[in-house]
Amino acid sequence: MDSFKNELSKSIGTQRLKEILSSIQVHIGLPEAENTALLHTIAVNILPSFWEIGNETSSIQDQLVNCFATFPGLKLLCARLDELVYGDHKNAASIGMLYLDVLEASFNKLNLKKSRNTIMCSSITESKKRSTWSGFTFFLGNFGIINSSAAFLSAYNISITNRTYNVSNMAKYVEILSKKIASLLEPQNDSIITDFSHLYHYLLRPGQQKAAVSALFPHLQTYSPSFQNLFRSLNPLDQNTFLTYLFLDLDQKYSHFTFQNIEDSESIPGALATLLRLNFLPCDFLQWLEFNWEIPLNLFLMRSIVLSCSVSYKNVDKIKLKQTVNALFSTWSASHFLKNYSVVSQERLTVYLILLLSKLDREFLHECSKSFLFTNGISNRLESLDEGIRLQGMVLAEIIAQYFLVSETKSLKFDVPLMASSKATYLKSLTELNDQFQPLDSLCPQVLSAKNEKKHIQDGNAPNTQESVNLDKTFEDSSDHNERKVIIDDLQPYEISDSESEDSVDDPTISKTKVDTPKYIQSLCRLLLDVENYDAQKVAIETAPELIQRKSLFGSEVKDHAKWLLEILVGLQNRFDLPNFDRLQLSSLCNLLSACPEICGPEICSILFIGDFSLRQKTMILSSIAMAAVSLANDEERFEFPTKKLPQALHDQFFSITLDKLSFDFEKKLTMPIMEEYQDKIEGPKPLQTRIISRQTEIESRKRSPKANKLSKVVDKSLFLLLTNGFMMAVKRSSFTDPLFLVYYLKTMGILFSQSCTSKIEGLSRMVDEYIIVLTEVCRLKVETPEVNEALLFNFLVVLESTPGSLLASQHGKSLLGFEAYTQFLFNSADSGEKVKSVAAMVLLEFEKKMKDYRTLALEKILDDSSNLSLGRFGLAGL
Amino acid sequence: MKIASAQEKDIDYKSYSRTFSEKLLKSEKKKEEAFMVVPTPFYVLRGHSSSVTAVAFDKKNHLFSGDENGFVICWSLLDMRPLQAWYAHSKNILGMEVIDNDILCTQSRDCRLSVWKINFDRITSSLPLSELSRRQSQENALSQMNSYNSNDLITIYSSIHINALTFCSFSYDKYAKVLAVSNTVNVDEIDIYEARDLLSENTNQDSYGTRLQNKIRPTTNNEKTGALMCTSLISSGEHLLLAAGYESGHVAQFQCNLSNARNVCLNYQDVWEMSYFEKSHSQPVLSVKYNKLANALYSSSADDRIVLHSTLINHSLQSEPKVTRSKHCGQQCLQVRQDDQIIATAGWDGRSRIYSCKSLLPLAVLKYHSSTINSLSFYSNSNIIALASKDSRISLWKIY
Repeated sequence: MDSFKNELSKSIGTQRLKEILSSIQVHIGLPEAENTALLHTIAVNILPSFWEIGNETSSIQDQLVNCFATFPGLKLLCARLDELVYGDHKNAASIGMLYLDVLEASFNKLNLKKSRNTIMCSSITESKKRSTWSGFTFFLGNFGIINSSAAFLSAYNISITNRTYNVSNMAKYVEILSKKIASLLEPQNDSIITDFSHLYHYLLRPGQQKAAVSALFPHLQTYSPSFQNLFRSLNPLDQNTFLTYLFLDLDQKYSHFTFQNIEDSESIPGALATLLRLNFLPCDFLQWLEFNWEIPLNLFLMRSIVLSCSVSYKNVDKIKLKQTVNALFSTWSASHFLKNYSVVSQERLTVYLILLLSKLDREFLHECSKSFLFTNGISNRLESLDEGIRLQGMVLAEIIAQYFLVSETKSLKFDVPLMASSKATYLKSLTELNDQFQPLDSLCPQVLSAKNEKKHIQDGNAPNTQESVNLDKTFEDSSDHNERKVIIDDLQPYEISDSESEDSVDDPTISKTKVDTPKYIQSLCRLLLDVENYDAQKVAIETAPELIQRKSLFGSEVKDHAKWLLEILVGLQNRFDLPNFDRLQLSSLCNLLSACPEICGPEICSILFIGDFSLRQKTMILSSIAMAAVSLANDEERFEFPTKKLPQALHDQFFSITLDKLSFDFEKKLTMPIMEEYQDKIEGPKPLQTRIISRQTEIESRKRSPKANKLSKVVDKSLFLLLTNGFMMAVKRSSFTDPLFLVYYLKTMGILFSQSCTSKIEGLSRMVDEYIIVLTEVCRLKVETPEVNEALLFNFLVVLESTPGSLLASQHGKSLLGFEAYTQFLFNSADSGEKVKSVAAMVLLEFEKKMKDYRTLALEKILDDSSNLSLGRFGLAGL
Repeated sequence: MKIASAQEKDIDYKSYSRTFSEKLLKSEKKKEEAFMVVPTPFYVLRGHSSSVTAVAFDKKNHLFSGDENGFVICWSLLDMRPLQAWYAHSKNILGMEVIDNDILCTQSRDCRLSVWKINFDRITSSLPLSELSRRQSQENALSQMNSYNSNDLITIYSSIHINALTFCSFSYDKYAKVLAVSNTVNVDEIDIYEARDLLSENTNQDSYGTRLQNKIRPTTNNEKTGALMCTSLISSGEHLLLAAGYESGHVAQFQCNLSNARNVCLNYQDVWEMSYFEKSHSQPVLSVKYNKLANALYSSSADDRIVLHSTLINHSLQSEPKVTRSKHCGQQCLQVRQDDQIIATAGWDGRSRIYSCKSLLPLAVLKYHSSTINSLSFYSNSNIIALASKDSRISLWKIY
């Protein structure tokens, strides 16, 4: 070796140099001191003169490269370059460039297997072999070559625009080294490939993983045990890195297919999964998935990953799958995850989970659905303010809840608009994906493009037939899967309100529009007028009384539409046999009348006699007048607290106001004092009975003290006089002398009079005049129906009770006497019923009482009227 | 050097993540846009005083609308004002169609089919609303009906007596130049009329038209179809197709050679052949319409179904009709847009619904009218829809 060194340090011929170089090549690969010294000599002396001399030197160049394409050779060249950078040499730049050229050529020529064999087959000890080899791999993997060459280039500011050095370019360097390793992936190298795992490990570390991985990619297309050996010998971190870059690479390669054609791309996940499973195990993917789910990948790749990691016959893998799902699920559930991760990555995890869940067995999912993790995770998500996060929570909850074996038929369903969005549909549809391993052919770009071309040709030739074929297809397609495909082609739907999904009535002959309860008098009127519509009538009549009462408390709405509403209400017919129709109609009318008596009073009185009404309507009108009168007079008692009321049905039964009830109450009120008085007389005075006195006062107190009420202000002109006038005009018509009408009429009059007359009103005398005339007229009719007579007697009673005695005596003495005679007649008549007789008796008593006070006055008045010129007028006063 | 490699790594990963995030964003966007905002009408035309029963667009920015009283308004779509208005009929207008640029055909329950020519060149300004309401007042109706000749803005071309005692409106095919209307005597039969003499100015107003074939009815095994409810005519290649909807819920298709369509025949079977007969509705069919290619027929009825019948010429063998249930009964009118993308229905519930032609999936609900929508029309080659409602308004929408 030393001799060679000496020879080389002097000038030397070409031939001799060749000999020397070929003889040292065998040993030069070992990193020994003498080799290094020899190489140093070559580098210093030989290289400047023999590198780049001409064609004849090409063989020398080859040999030189062979010498330097070794561990010590490369190392020396790097050392020389470093020296040039830091030392002070003449012509440093040109020498450096020379070295760089040699380094480039040597690196390109470097044979890893040979280098390995040189070291491993040498006579040195095993441990030394190992340390030497690891020194070499460290040297290569630590980028010493790149560091030196790049440092040199930058130190001398050499522009290398016209030439690129692989040794100064990170990506190229990694690519070349990776390709060198890839070339070793042959079956015969199975045993030695693990020696290169360290080198590959170094290559995977820095920023050029993509180059490192893609260089190995061609070998992944087939089943390759040597690659598997290499992969297994990597540490888990490197394995994950390798997979990450492999996926990213695949993603880039195949993503454009998925956008071109949906049908063809359906097979891609399956085919990719086949590809992945050629050389990797499910546990590799699971391990990757647990830590790298955040890597952004296309859905089809996610599907293939899930498919590849979920299909395995080994129990270990199954357990590992469950563990991974659990781990991912706990990440997904954690509240800090919600806060700290972007929505996009959260969705990615959700997609992975959804895909994985469909691959798991029911028992596990059942366990899962019961776990605290599940409920906690869902609740965490549902609490979120972000729609996307809530949506993910709901979708996953729905999916897992299917396995909550409590109820098979009724599954959890979030019925919110969010769940109808296309994103929710998209997420939910993921569960129905059933990916299967597919042949690798479908990944072949030629196949795909050929398919597409074929399609284009078809399209061009016969667009019409294509169209019709498509249409036919849609007829046959009934499965959900295909429907979804159609949606993708379809136009985007506009937002559709929730109520759209509600069924409307199936029978189109029945109106399906729901009638809203009227809010205004006007709308009430319109509903009432819609006589063909059952719903409208029902709703209208049911709300009418309350609405009128409510509206009468403020505003002028009721007054504005009073006449219209009154006409409608009076004319209303119970076409649909609605329950409680009469009562509701009556109370509506009553409320309307009491709300605006000055408008409705005259109107209703005039239409009562003018309009062509049935007896039912007439009686109803009269009843409503009477009831309105009562409610007007007792203004303060209009509202009852709901708590004081009986349940509605009972209340209606016992307290619904009818005219009969009202008149009966009044009758009782009027006759009670008389009865009490005469009871005393019959039984004799009971001076010691203090109770009687108190009872007397009680009776007295029940008597109404005269005071102005709402009714009395309007009663004369709005109601009373109109009723009396109208009656007097209409009495000739038979329909107005019908006993039933008379009963109602008389009772109404009686109530009106008794309610209003208690106060001092202006038109009182005229009212009394007309009232007496009407009563006289009724007496003249001599109706034999007991009810009419009873009503008449009630009126007498009212007259006697309410009218000031002096007025009666002075103005209507004659009529009163006539009434008395009529009452007497009724009392004595055999035909009149028991009730009439008893009332008549009471009326007679009342007459007697009044007569006692005013008889003289009355008679005087009569005489006065009859004989104006009688001179003996005063003489008769004693009668 | 280490810094450089670190940067390279950074850039590399970034470029990856950028491309992926772009893709993701795209798909995200697509998903988020999936639901578009609730549509609203862009204009509402108010002018009729009673229920609007028919609408039709021409191709020159005009909209014609007819109402229950026989009053027709021609609207300008440029300023949304009425250009002309007249009493075309004395009764409810059943249907109207613009059969040429300025020629309007109207059919009414007064048993007349009238063709009008509107001289747009002479119309210089829009009608003031006061004038519109004056013309619309009933007192003027009769006097106006008799004074068409004096009005040089609108001239009546022809007006023939035809049966309109059913509710079936006419249908017209411009290639075959024939009209399909309900038979004069039997309500379940169809008559085909010559349309050419309707378009000539010399047709006598009291003419009864030229009937080409009559009494076309489905050949069935004693299945009762009830009254004819609607018809649709379309020419497709060599053939003329006639679809009919019946009171029983049946939809029938007849076809004939286009060359024979204008032959006068006593026996309709010499010309027409029934190629399709299907009971797809449980209630009377209210509307049948072909798509532009005439390979699909859509029907709506008083029930809640929208049915897509596939129609193949010369074959009575068709695939099963595709039924979609709208859940809302009473689809008075159905129209297919010219681009065969969407169909629109006019509902008794005052809403129009838009469906995808292919999948019949609901796409939109047009909710504005307070009462039944009687008719609707698409403006050709645009996205404009007009809805005519019982509430006497016409709403204009832009959909897709």
